[in-house]
Amino acid sequence: MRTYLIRRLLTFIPSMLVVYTLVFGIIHATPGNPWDTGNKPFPPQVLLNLEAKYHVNDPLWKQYVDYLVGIVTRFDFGPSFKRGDTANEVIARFLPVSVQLGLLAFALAFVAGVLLGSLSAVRHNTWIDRLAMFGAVFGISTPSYVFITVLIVVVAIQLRWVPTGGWGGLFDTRVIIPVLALALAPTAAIARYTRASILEVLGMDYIRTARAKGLRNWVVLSRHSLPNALIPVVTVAGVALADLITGSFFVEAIYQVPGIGRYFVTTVQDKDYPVLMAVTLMYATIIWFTNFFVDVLYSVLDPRVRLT
Amino acid sequence: MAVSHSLPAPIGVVEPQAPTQAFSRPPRTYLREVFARLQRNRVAMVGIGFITLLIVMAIATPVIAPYDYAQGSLLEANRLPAPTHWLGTDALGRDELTRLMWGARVSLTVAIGAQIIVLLIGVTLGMISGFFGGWLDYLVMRLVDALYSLPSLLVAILIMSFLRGVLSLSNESGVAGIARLNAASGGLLGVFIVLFLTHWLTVCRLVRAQVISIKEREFVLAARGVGAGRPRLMRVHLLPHVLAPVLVAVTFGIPGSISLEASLSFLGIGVTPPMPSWGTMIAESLASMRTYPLLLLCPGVALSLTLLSFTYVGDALRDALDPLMKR
Repeated sequence: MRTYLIRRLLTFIPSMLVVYTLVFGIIHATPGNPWDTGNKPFPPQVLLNLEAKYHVNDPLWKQYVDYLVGIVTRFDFGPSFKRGDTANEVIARFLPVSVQLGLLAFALAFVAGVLLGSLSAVRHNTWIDRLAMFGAVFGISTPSYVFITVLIVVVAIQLRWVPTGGWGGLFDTRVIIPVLALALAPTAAIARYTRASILEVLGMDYIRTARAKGLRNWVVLSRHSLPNALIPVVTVAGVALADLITGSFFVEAIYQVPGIGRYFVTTVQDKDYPVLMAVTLMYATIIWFTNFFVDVLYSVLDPRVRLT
Repeated sequence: MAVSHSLPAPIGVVEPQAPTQAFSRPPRTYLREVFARLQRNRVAMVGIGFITLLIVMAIATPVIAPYDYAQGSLLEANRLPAPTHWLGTDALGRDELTRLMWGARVSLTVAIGAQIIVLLIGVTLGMISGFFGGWLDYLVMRLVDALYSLPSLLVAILIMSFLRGVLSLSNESGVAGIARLNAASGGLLGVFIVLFLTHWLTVCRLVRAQVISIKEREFVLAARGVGAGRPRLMRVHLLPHVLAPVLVAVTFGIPGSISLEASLSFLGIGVTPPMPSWGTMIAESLASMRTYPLLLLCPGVALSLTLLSFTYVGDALRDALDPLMKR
C-alpha cells in the first residue's frame, strides 16, 4: 500500500509535465500574438516594451525552462497578458466562487442521486423505476446550456421567483438556478450507478441471510445493502466532484457567475497565455488528485480491492 | 419355387423420426444471440428506430430540405410555425426545419466519422501498447493520463484555437490543401480532428487493459505454441475479445461527440456559419429566448432526443453483449 501510494504520487510529476509541455507546445504553435490588435496596432515602441517585459522573444527552450522553473520554485504563473493582475491573482479571485458553487451542486447531486437510485432499485421494474431511469437518461442527455436556459426562461422570467443572473454567495437566491443546472447531469449519473449497484448487492447471499434472520426490510436496505452498494458509486461521484468544482463555462457565462470556468474560454480567445497555463495546470491538478483519492478511498472502503 | 423379391411388409418397426417436439432450440451464433436480446428491449428498439430515421433524413437532407440553409428573407424573420415554414423561421428569416435537418447532418457526420477513426486508431494503439508493454506503453499511458486529467472541453478548445489559427494561414503550402478542405466542409474537418483527439483515450485504455488481462491466458499460449506470429495473435486471438467492450464504448462515444460538437459550435469555435449546427442554433436563440423560445426549443429538443436515443441504445447494447450480467 505504501509503496503503491508513493509510486502513484510520483506519476503526478510526468503527467503534469506532459500537460505543461502539451499546452506550451499548442500555445507557441498557434499563429498570432496576444497584442495583435488588428487594424489599430500598438505603436512599435509599445510592442517592443511589451515583448521585452513578457520575454516573448527569448528562445523557445529558454521560455519553456524559465517558466517551468518559475512555477515549480515560486509557484508563479507570471503576469496576465491582458489584465492588470497576475495569473495567480486571477485564480485566487475566481476559483473560490466556482468551488463553492460546485460543492453545493455536488452535495445536491449526491443526495438526490443516491435517493433516486435507491428508490429505483427498491421499486425495481415498476413505473417508479422506469420514470426515474428515464429522467436519469434525460438528465445525462440534456446539455447544461439548454437546461439552464429553460430554467431561466421558466423560473426567472415567467414565474419571477429568482433573478435572471448574478452571484451573491451561497445564501442568495441567485445560487438556485446555477446549482440546479450544474447538478442535473451528475445527479443522473449517480442515480444510474446507485441503482445498478444496489440491484447487484440485493442478489447477494448475505442479503438473503439478513432477510432469513427476519430483519425488517428497511434495516436490510439501509444497513446491509446501501453501505456496500455505495462503494462503486464513489468512482462516479469523484469524477463528478472534480468536474463540478472546476466550474462550468456554460453555466457561469449564461448566468453571469464570476467563476473560473467562465475565464477559460476567454483566455484562449484573448491569447492570455499565463492565465491559460495556470488554469489548465490547476484543472489537471484538481482532477488528478480527485482520481487519486477516489482510488485510495475505494481500496479503503472495499478491502478486497488491493492497490498494486 | 417362387422367390419373392420383395421384402416382407414391415411389422411394427417404426422408422426413427426426429422428435416432433423441440426440446432445444437450434444453436444460435453469438451475434444472433446478442441481436435477439437487443430486440427484446423495446425502448432501445425505439431508439434505434429514431436514429435510423435521423440518419436517413440526414442523408436525404440536400434533396428533401424545403429551403436553403444559408439564405433567408429578412421580411420573413421570426415567423411562427405555418404551412410554409413548419417550424417557423429564425432571426434572419431562414427556415428552422431546414436548418434543423442540416444540423442533424453535421452532428451525425462528425460524431460517427470521428468514432470510426477512434475505433481504428484507439484499438490499434491500445493493442500495441498492451501487447508489447515497455517504454512505448509507458509513453502512451503517460499521454493518456495527462489528457485524462484535463476536461475534454478544455482540450477541445485548445486544439480548436490552434487548428483555426493554422488553417487560417492558408497561403502556407503545407496546410493549404487541408485548409481548403476545411473551408469547403464548413469547418467540419477541424471539429472532426478535435473530436478524434479527445475521444481516443477511452478506447485505447479499454483495449490495453483487456489485452493485458488476456494475453497470458492458455489459449493465447496455445496459439503461440502452434506457431502463430505476433500479428496473427493480435488479429485472430486477441481482437475478438476486445471488440464487445469497445463497441459499447464507441456507442457511448457517439453522443459524447455530438454533445462536444454542439458545445464547440455553441461557443462559436465549431462549425463555421452559415453551416448550421444545433449548438450554433441554440447559441443564436439565446438572444431572443424571452420573446421567441421556439428557436431554443427546436434545436434543444433535437439534441436531447438524439443523445437520449444513443444513450439508450448504448445501455441496451451493453446489456445484450454481456449475457452474464444480472438483471
